[in-house]
Order: sequence, then C-alpha cells, then structure tokens
Amino acid sequence: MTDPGKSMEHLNFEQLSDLAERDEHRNPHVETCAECHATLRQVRELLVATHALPRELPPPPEAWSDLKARITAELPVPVPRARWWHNGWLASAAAIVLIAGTMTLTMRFTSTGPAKAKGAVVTKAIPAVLTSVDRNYAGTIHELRMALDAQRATLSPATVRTVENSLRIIDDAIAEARQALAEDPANQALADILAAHYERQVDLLRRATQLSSSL
Amino acid sequence: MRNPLLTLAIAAATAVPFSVGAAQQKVDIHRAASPTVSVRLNGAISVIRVVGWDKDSIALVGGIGAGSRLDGGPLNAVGPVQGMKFYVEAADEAGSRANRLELYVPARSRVWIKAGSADIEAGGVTGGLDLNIVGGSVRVSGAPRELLVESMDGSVTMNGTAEFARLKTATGDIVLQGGGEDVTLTTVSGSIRASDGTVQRARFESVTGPIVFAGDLARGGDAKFDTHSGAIELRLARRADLEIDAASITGSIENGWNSGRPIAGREGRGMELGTSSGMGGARVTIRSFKGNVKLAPK
Repeated sequence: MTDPGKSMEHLNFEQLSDLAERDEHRNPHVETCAECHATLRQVRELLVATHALPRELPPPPEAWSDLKARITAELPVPVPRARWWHNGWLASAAAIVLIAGTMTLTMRFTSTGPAKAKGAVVTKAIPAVLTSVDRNYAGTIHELRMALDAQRATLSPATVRTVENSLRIIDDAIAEARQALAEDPANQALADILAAHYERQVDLLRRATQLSSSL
Repeated sequence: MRNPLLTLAIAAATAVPFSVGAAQQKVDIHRAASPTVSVRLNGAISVIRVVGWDKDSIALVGGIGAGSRLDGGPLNAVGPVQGMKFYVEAADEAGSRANRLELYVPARSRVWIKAGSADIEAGGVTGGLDLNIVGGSVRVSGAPRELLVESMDGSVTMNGTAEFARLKTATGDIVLQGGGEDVTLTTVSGSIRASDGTVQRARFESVTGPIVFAGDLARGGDAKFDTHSGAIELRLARRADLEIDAASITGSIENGWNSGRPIAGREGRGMELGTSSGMGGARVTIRSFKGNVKLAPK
C-alpha cells in the first residue's frame, strides 16, 4: 500500500544531484512532482553550465616547462604524466560554479522551504546555460573587437580579409550552436561546442590584435 | 645607456651566403652566446631559416634589400650573449621580399620570430620556438621542447616530436607528422592532418576545416576532437587500446574500426557512439555539430 505522506516528501539536493549526474530521466517521484521536476531541471542546467566553462586557462608555456622541470627535480619518484594542469584548472573553475550553484539551491531549500518553492517559476525565455556561456565570453570579445577595429588600419588588406572571413565563419557557427542550445538547453555536447566556438573567436581576435600592434 | 641596441652597419657584398643578390646588403653577425640564449627576430623578412647547432654562438647571416634596415643586437654588452634581438624594416612590400636570413643558434636556445608574410623553416632546436606569421608557411623539424606557431593563412608543418606544441591557424592547413606529449592543433577553416607519431595529450579543433588523425595514442593518453562542420576521420590501429566517446549533433557517425554501433542522438537528431577496445587505456572524445565522423582501421 502506498503511503500518501511519504509520496509528498520532496527529494533532497543530494538525491536530485545524483539523478542529474546520472542523466536519469525517469524517477517515479520526479515524474509526479512539479517542484522536484523543476529543481532537477535547474540542477541539470547548472551541470551543463559548469561543463561549458572555458576548458583551459592555460598558464604561459614557460610555466609548464619550468614547473614540470621543478617537479621532476624535486620528487624522488617519477611523476605520472597525467593531465594534471588541464584538469586542475578546469576543476578549480568548475568547483567555483558548483559551489555557487549549490549555495543558491541550498539557500532556496533552507530559506523558503517546500511551501514557497512550490511557487518557483523556471524561466524559459533564455536558458540559463546559454546566458552562462554567453556571459563567459561577451566582455572579452567586445573588448577585443574594439581593439581590432582601432588597429585595423595598421593591417594589410589581405590580412583584414582573412581575419574578417574567419570571424564570419565563427560567428555563423556560434549562431547555429546558440540556436540549437536554446532549443535543447540540457545538451552538454552542445554547450561544449558553443563554448569551444567562443574560445576560438577570442583566440583569433587576440591574435589579430597582436599582429596589428607589432607588424 | 643600459642594454644598448646596436645599429648594425651592413655593407654591400658580392660573395655572400644564402642568395644575396647584387642589390642587397650582406648580413653577417657572429657572437658567443650562452647555450640557452633567447633570440628575437621581428619585422619584414620573407625567408627565415633557423638552425639549432652544437656551438655556443649565434650567427645571423643572409641579406636584406637595398632599402631595408636591420637594427638590434645583444641585450648584454659583455660576456656570452644571454639575449639578442633584431628588427628588420623594409621600405615597402617589394623590399621585404628581398630580406632573407639564416639564424644559427645553440640547440637549446629559445627563438622567437614574428614576421608578416614569410616562409620560416626551423630545425635542430631543442629549446623553444615561438613562430608567428600572417601568410607564407612554417616548417619545423626535430624535437623542440616547446613549439608555438601562430599563422593566419600560412600553412604549418611539424615533422618530429614536441614536448609541448600549440599550432594555430585561421585558414592555413596544419600538418603534424610525428607526435608529442601535449599538443593542440587549432584552425578555423584550414585542414588538420596528424599522423606518424604518438601523442599523450592532444586536442584537434576546427570550425569548418576537416580533421584527419592517423597517429597513435600513448597508454593513458587523452585526445579530443572538436569541430562545427568539418569532417572528422580517425584512422586507428585495429588493436588500439581505446575508449571512444563520439557525438555529432546533426551529422553522421560511421564506425568501421570495431563492431560498436552508433545510435541516434538526443531527440532522434544526429548520432552518438560509445565504444572501446582492449582495456580502454586511452580516451578519445569527439564532438561535432554537423560534421560527419568516421572511424576507420589503419
């Protein structure tokens, strides 16, 4: 026999996180509870947004070599050649977002309780993941575009054409990926692809501005 | 004056190395240098050849056009040179085409070159190479510890093994014949081809350019392939010890490497493939928006 009181108990954050991480779409309680359904959706979007963070915050190459040389010299045993710096930087960035997200959700649970959470509205106009990815890059891209515009006259026409064509190609790719992510905000692969396009745009703009300042 | 840069008087010559024509000025600079000297060469140069040699000295030879000027010199006035930098100025684009230089450096040096449209060839350097061009080409051979190449529409070819490599273009093609410990090849619309070597950690990224990988992954290695609409083709050893995770949002995935079957992607669009062989010792991740993905045996 089903206990009606038990069925009204909401899933806690750990249980929802577990469902989100396992990408499980079917859960008896979530299927019948709008609150938990909405919260699970938020947690999934948070996970996708975390995944969409810049994958690399590379230190200068000298740092890589110097640090590696120092580690090799100081440690008595060989250091495994794992993807330590890549994962380390990513993990730090991801940890920041996860902590922020966890705090937000935890505060929601603890301060408003289930009664207030019932009235929570999940905005569908601009998916959070899209806003998050856009926000990561918008400022940098704007600044770099301004810098490039200011220095355009110092570049040869052929270089300007190459840069403009490449930026157009990336812009088109970003537009396609954004549109697709807006339609399917829980798609981690899409978020990855969009973030990668933004990274490429930032990189190309940075390189173009460096060219014009030195040649 | 601290660290005075010498303005080098360059006399016209007749019998000179590296194709110096009658209307050119000879460049012939030799200095004792530390084994890990840093050398910077910047400006309007059309052909540059860098040779890492087994000597503690630097030689910059060749010729520059009649209207061109070469400035620069050592950064320390006494003792073996720790750092040296040169700048070549040309009156116009035609003038820069006549500027052709050869740079000989101790093998463990760090060499930094920035030129507009240039053909750069570098070999024998085991230190660092940082090469930046707009057009032309870059060809590197050997085993530099660090290799950074950036080009807009110039092609980039690496033949050898680099401990740490970042090769980037906008429209230029990238070829890696060899491997490395940590390599990233990035282009917007050029092609990427990697073969004949083993990589430990690798990233291959394009927006519209095709990517072909026919190399090997080290045990415990990690390779990521990322494109928007370029085709991705992996030619893999039949017995490769790999775990592959591939997804194309709207494109297709064809697996002729093993028996793993791609499935339809989310909401029936695109395709996904998760497959492995052996102990799954190395990891391959493929992400494509609409480019087709193909796995084939070598």
